Amino acid sequence: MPGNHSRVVFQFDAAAHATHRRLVSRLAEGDAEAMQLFYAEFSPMVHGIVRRMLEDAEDAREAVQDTFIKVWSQASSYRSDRGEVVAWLVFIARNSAIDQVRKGARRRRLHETLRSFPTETEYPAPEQPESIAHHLIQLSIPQRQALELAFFSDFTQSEIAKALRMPVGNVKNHLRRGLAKLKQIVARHE
Amino acid sequence: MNDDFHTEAFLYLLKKLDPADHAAFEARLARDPVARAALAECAAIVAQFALESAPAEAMLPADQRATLAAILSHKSTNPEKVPQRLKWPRYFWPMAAAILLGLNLLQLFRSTPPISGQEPMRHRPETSRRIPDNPTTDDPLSVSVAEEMQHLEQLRAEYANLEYAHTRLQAEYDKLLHQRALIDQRIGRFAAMELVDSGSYARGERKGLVKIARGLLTEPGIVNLEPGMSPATQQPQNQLLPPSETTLPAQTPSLGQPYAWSVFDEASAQGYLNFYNLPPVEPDRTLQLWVKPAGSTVYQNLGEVPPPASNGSGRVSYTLPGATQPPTEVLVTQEPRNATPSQPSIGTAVVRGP
Repeated sequence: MPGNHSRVVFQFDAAAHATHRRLVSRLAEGDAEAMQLFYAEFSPMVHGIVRRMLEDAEDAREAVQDTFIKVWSQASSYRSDRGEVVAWLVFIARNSAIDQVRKGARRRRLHETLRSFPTETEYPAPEQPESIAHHLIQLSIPQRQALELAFFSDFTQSEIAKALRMPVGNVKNHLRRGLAKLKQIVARHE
Repeated sequence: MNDDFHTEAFLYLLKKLDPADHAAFEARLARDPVARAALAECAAIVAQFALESAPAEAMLPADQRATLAAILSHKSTNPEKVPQRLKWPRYFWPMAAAILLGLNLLQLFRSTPPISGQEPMRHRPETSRRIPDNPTTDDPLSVSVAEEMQHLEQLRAEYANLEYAHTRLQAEYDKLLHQRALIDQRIGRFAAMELVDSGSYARGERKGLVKIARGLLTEPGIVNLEPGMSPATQQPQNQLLPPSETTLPAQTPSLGQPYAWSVFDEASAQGYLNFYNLPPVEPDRTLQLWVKPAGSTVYQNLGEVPPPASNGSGRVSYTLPGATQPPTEVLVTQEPRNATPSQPSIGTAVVRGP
């Protein structure tokens, strides 16, 4: 959303990733204290994601709860060779929010916001020039919009094309180039 | 790995691949560690993007505690443990009956005199086949059976109590659901939205007028607002929300910027728009009102907005045609006079919302 660019950027170093993996191992063994630590560490992050996707605060709260229950019950299936814990958690949170939508929760109309977003206005520069946020403004607006609609609105490429009023081929290009640019940005930042 | 693989990994992570492609991708991941590493990289990139796009937002402390409590209480619903909990009441009574039967049989054989080969079993005393109703004998087996039965009775009573409590809670839950449905129905009759200029709209700045509007609504679609008074400064007589709910957010456009607020009464399909600080309208231009109905992607023109007063304020009401859905967006633009625009012209928005 426009106007939300001075924010905490979640950068975790190798030690933090190792700590997260240990926590997930403890969760797999049913350690309640580990769950409290995990929740304290990640609940604002999870809430931020589901709040972006769901209109109603109560629905978002339920999605947060559902996310951590899934983490609790699926901890033993976590595979570190397919991604860090943070990434694993982000996708669980996203899927929980989508589940809420399928159960009848109202989704934020992200595509309406994006379509009416004035394209002539650039994203304002963040306060910390070295943050990821600073680099992410290098994404073109269509690239960012396509990525946001795919991730937060669970749109197919056809739905993105319809929402952004462009051919599906262009959407595919924006997604591919957007991901490539993100890869460069993150690589430069590391 | 190339960009195409990242795109495919992205769609895999979002569960947007066809079933066949999904299975093929899974198979590749299973056999190729390089593909797994590339997937992990893609997941990290997308997660980073998501976290940047959706800033962390702490829940209210009370919600946070309640959510954690609910999660921790859900521990017992781990996949391995749920079936055990569910099976207990189902199999308890048959098991108890089997134990009792076993005890009966045991007692039957124990109370039988030693078989000498000459005395048949039918000569056993009749009373020894039954469990005594009121065991007062010194027979430890009879006492044990009586204790078991007493325990069984206790369990039966506790189970009945639990069933009763469950029924009562279920009834209360249904009642709450019903009340919530009624509230939702009432709230659904009104739609209040706030309109600001394009700059404030892009920055996400709002005056919090929607909250105020909810406090000012007295009748369907009627806003208790005196002409010329700014809603930000008015003290409503029938305020339904506590005063703290009407405080303005930190990011507030300056008072000189145009803004408006709108209330839509779904029952009568009628909308009301109050606007303030609108800039002067050029002689060759008019203000046009547009709405975007729910489910639609195009704006619908509702005609000309009456010229605002010298201080830029005014109000207008409109009625949507019968089959039109309630508006999800309201827009006021400046359009050339004598033109009949089918869609709002780019760059002419004066106020927009929500």
